[in-house]
Amino acid sequence: MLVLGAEGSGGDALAGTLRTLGMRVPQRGADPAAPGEVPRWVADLHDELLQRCNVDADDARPSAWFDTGRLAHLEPLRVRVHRWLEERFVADGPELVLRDPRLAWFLGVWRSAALRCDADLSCVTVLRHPAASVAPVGGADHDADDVPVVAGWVNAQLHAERATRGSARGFVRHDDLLADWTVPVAGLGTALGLRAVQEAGANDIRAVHTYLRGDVPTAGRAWDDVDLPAGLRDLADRTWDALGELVETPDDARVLARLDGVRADYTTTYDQAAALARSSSRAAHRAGLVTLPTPERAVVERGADRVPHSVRAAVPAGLRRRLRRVLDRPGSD
Amino acid sequence: MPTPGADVPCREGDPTYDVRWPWNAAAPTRPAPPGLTCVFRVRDEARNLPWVLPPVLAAVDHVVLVDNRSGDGTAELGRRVAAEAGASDRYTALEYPFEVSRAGHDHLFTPPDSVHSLTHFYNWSFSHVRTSYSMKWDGDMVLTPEGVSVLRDLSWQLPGSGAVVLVPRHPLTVVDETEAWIDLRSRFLEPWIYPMGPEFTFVKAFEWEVREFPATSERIVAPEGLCVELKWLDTDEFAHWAEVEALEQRRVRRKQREREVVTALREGRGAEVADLHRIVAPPGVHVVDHVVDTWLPQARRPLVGRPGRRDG
Repeated sequence: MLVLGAEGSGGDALAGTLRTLGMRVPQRGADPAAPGEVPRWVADLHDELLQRCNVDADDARPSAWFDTGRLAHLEPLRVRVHRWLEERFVADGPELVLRDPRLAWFLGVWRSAALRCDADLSCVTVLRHPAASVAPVGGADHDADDVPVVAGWVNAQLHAERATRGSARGFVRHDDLLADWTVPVAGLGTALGLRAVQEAGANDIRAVHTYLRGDVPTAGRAWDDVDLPAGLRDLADRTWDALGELVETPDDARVLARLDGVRADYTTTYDQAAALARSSSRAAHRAGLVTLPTPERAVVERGADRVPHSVRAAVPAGLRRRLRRVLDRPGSD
Repeated sequence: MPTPGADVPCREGDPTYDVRWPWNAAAPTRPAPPGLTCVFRVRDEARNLPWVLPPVLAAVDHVVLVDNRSGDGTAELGRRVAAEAGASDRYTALEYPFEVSRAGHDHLFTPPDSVHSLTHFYNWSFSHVRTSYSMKWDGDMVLTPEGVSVLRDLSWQLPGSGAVVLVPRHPLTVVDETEAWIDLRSRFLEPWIYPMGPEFTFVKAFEWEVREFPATSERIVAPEGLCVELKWLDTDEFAHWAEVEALEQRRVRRKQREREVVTALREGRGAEVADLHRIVAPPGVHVVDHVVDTWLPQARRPLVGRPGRRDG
């Protein structure tokens, strides 16, 4: 099972709950330094891949999904992830849960690895309102930062939803997890056939209650206090409302059609905003260029160029031509 | 007499078979909605469709199947398979009633705007696509589950990118229900997936049609092991070719390899052909299902091109 959802969305809490119930988080025991529920190997892999395709973890560009998706076609990468996953199944057991906020960017690679392991893949997305993603009151000057944060949230939610269509999947509200985790988790266990949930004993259940008492969600800000352009706020609201409906019916065709519409509108809005801000991005690009070190002489000198002209001129022309033919090099005198 | 007003009027003057591109149509068909449509041009593929069609329907947004004078019930079977997959609303069945010149010499001397030309046949077939991306697919190419997964991702990731996608395929010659031979000599790499638009239409080449695309288009190569191309040892795979012998070697290397494989298998010499692998299905499982669902997903990568690293 892959647990999707933005950082701070409650994805860690769900993954930790499932781990406490008996599913295995690969390498967690052997990797105590790993933060939260994210295995170090997975975190490092996603960092590397995001860097390779020049995408931020919370990138707001719709086209970033093409950039990360393109990496999924690299066979060596597919082999690498498949081998790791297969080793984890052997070492850790048959029901694995993987959690990382960046998973959705590379779902194609993980799906391929699961297929090659002959494993059933399911995806669960934990939904938390975008207001929880913005900086809390009293933080740094946040108004200018709220727009890209919320845009990144919209982009991530809409495309992660699109990426999980066709897979067994579920959606869980963070609020429902906080209110009474047994209801959404039991629902996932039934819908996705999770043995660890279906066969959980009383001690496991008690352990989850203890685990979740220690999980204090980060605070956000009241949605009305977040200063956003009206268009972006509307997109975020429509995204949140539609995703909420998928909690009950994860593949409702009418809701999916609505989400398709929101995704198209977000792409249009982003493209317009990018066009509006093109002068800023060009200026930033130029400013970045001048910070680069002066490149070394790009063209490697020919061997002949290292010989002083006076010496070369002393070589008879016929001999020079023969030398060039031997070296298979076009000549110019 | 060609019909005025069409984008590519056919020289025979039958307006039903003129090409009218969707991007030249009046709103609301512009702009094309994002998504991927698969176009099949098929003749007598009833034997293959039960393997070919369901995974494609699972992978793409829409399927257009153009039947060209089949005598084995291909069109009816296609409708039935789409209905059984619950995909009738995403399935368009069309009929192209003209004899189309065979690849090779016949094609060379057929004008490209004739209904008998492969070029016109392709353009007409693709003019029925209504999404922003299209995929050419053959009626004998079977997707693996990984292939379905990759195409499903591409169907929403590609729109807006302008990229074309090349998909490796692996010829699979079926001897009977339990035995088949897979050819891992090369990836037989071709572009199959293109954006829709005036820069991506079909033009005439020497032996067949080719699809144009700008030199600046990004080319994405899909991983190996996504699809097999079914060949049946008991049928004549070269019936749709004119004078194979006369074709210029560089452009028909793939066909020559196919013939080498088929000839060797018919003579019982399959094991002597380099990079040709025999696969036997377990009892009760058809070998095509076994290859697609089990053998290929589990086969060691890379599949092609590095002898000694493949064990299947």
